[in-house]
Amino acid sequence: MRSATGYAQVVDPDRPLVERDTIGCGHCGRVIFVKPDTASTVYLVLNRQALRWHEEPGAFCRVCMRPVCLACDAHGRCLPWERQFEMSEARDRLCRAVGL
Amino acid sequence: MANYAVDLHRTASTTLSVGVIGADATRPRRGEIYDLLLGSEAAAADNPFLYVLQRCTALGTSTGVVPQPLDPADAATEADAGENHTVEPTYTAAAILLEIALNQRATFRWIATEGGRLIYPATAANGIGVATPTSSAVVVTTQIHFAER
Repeated sequence: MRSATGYAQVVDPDRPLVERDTIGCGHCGRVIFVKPDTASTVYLVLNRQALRWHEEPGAFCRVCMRPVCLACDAHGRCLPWERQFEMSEARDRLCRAVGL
Repeated sequence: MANYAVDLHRTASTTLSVGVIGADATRPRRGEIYDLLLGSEAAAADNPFLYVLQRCTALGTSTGVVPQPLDPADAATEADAGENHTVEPTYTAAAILLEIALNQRATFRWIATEGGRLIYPATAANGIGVATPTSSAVVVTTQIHFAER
């Protein structure tokens, strides 16, 4: 469980105001829309074909103890975004140091 | 950590990006997007849009846009931003950070606190692009507020 770290708002003149809480995936950083009052345990997932939302059970990594998106959950390994960035930045520093 | 704002405009296209923001190629620094606005300033009409923010490992070729510091006392940012791409950014497959479906009349705003921000690494030319895979040919605008470490 985790409290929301973000907030989204859709203002449409023809429709009621839409408000959503969001959290960040602990592995890839993706913005995850969550159902209100569920302590981030129910995700709202966009169906790209129908352009509609549906509910899915949330996912939680018990290695880094963070909520993760469904794609990272399906991937099945823990690689927090901080570690991914450290590896990317170290590789970049090495490339620049050797003139690549 | 200084804060900056940048506006990116483009006639929406299913194949061309609205714009991109990312780390400089020679002096890369991490950036954190904490406030994002998506919308269209075209005449009101009912058209569906899908906005997607996706990681990229090259910023492509575009018209440069200079992010403005929110505090005029801050130094200019090292980050690179661009719009009207002639060569698209190199997007990382499946690395979608945010996607939202909107009507053309609607405006979307997302804000985040520490721990929920969209971050790009201090790796040369790595960044985040804004694309509209579902869209109509009207002008859309993205306003991005970000902090640079």
